[in-house]
Amino acid sequence: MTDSRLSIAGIGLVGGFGQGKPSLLDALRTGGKPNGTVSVASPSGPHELSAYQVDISGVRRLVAPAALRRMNRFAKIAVLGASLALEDAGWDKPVKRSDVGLVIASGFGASKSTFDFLDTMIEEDGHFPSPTLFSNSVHSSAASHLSIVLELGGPCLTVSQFEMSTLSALLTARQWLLEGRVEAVLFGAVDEICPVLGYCYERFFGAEASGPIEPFAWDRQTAVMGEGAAFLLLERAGDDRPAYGRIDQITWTRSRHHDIPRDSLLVLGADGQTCYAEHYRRLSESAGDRVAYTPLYGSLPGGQAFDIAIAATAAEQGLGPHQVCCVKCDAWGNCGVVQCHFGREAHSPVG
Amino acid sequence: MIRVNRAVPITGLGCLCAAGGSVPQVAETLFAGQRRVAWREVRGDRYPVFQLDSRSVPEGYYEGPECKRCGRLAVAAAREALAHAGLVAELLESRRVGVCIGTTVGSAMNNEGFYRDFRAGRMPDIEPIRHYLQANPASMVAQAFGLTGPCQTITNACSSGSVAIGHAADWVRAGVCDVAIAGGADMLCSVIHAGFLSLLITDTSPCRPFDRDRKGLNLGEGAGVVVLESEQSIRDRDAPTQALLSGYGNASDAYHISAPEPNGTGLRRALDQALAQAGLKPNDIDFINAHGTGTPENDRVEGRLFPEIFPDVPFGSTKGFTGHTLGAAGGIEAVITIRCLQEKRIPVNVGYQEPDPEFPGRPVLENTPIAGRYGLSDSVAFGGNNAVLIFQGQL
Repeated sequence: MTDSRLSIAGIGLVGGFGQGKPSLLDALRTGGKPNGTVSVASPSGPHELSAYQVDISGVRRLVAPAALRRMNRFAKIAVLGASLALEDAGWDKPVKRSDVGLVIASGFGASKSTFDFLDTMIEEDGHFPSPTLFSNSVHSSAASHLSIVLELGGPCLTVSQFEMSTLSALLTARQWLLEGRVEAVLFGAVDEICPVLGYCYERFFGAEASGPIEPFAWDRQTAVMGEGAAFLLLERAGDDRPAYGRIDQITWTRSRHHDIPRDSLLVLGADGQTCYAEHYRRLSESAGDRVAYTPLYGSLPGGQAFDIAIAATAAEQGLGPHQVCCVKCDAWGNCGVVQCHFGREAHSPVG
Repeated sequence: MIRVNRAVPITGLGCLCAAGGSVPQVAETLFAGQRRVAWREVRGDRYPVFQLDSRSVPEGYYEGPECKRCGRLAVAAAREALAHAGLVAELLESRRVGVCIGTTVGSAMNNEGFYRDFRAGRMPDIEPIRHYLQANPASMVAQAFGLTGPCQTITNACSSGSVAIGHAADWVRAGVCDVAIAGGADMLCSVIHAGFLSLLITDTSPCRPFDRDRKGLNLGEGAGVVVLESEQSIRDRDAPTQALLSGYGNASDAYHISAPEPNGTGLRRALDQALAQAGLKPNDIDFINAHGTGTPENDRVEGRLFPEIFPDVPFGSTKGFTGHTLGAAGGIEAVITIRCLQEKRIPVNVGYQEPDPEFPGRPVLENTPIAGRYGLSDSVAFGGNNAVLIFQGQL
């Protein structure tokens, strides 16, 4: 029988809570909250909208300045998260391998560069659009920069499926490992805030929510936008004891059909958006214990990767249970379920 | 090390592009050597584009929000492919069907009108953003046919369509779904056109892949989709198989954000992977449908690599008929490759006249008979991603 489970060998997290494990653990103990604001235009004049924002200054410790010169902020967030995951796993950088896959999941891609490129199109009557901004505006730009910086010559994938980006991309990462296409996958969800997204957020949800997110206030809009990166270094589950445990099952389903194992902690991707609340409320009714980590990192499409990474870190530190089920729903009625068994004792024979 | 893997059957093909509104029409145009070039004025200059003609445009294509056009192209190609496969609604309902679509424009939030209003402080209505959130191409296909399996919109730039087919085959092989609708879709978009102009890699004449005097690419629009199906599903309904997807490779150059690595090391790795997965040697390949965009750098890489790895294997680019359809290219060229296997011939590399002394590779100069066993299609993307698909005909 083929073991389709994945081991988590390293984790790299960057978000409004800070970067790396110490910052995350602080947030887990104290509870998270938005750490910044985005200036948003509105009919009543500009005002500040709460947000979970990333400080990318830490990337300079991890990557040579020359390599950062042509990167936009989206790519820097990705490079920071990926570098932390590799560091956590004890891998050297650059990786210099072609048997390591790279998978990036993103809801909106490099949105700031997309609009910056449009600026160069609109200004000067469209005569001098910037080739550098155009190159950096495509969704795959973060993966391209990562492959260059880390010297990763293996397969590479960027997925943009809004809230289901993480789940969908995990399905592919698993297949690469199972088919022997790669020996490891550097997997990450990356999203970035920009002024246009801030404007859209306010128009969609209003400006009232200042955080923290209240994920179980089903009938109230409490979403606060977030940005960041959550990276996992994934390997095939084998005889080694994984650093964090394993991902047992990855399931794409319709929410109304899915049963959550009652012995698992249900980690809901509920992020304060009332449009998804009914899905999450119904799922949580059939489950045992439940939690949401969105108040730590905010509302962003790739949030499910944060949930997996945070739950794994919590279990490793004795702050959370070992059996965990991370669930994310989307506006199309889909539901992504990732069942995990964290902790080093997650090693067990294939049944 | 990648293993030899079970080939995945393909039971349906769908395609629409400047060369035609269906797979038979596209094949007819290609083998007739016809180019259907349109012209667009951008920043005072006229550029050739390969757009759908009025007979090929899906119903409602120009109505409603522009951002849904990629999804509409994908739906139209999927409709033809499902009909070709004989997968009617009742059969789809009883199967777990996944959707994997590659795109570039279809995922970009670059609504120029909205953004012009935003930056001018005119507080634009967010209806265009609502439409964008509903325009995910894979989700649009799933919704159009009432599918509940996994969806994946792949944004690997110009290799997206090939990558989508390769990964969808993985899903079918692993039992993630019984059927997968996979390919690519992209529309013509003024923002993307401006981007390619800024990179100085567009030709003001119809493109000339592999020609000495080539100046760059012409943009195109369209979609190409295949239906991948498990052997069990095919047996259950006694359906014919059109071809097999035997091998898939995906590798990165790790070199530059927009230029290909000059020695083609990433493409070589992707070729090696695909051959290894198919259990084939280079001389098993009967022809290559090259990426062949007509840009100096891209064609130089392929023009050097193919004669070295695949000596005497005929190759050609079909971009001269379709334009560069970006995320759709891999899907459209997969369909063309399979059709060529079925017809046992490949079309002329239209636009080519003079050999380039910088590389030894010479594309086919006329419609050329082939054995029809194995056809290879490769995609070389912006950012250094390379994807290779190997199809088997003669089942």
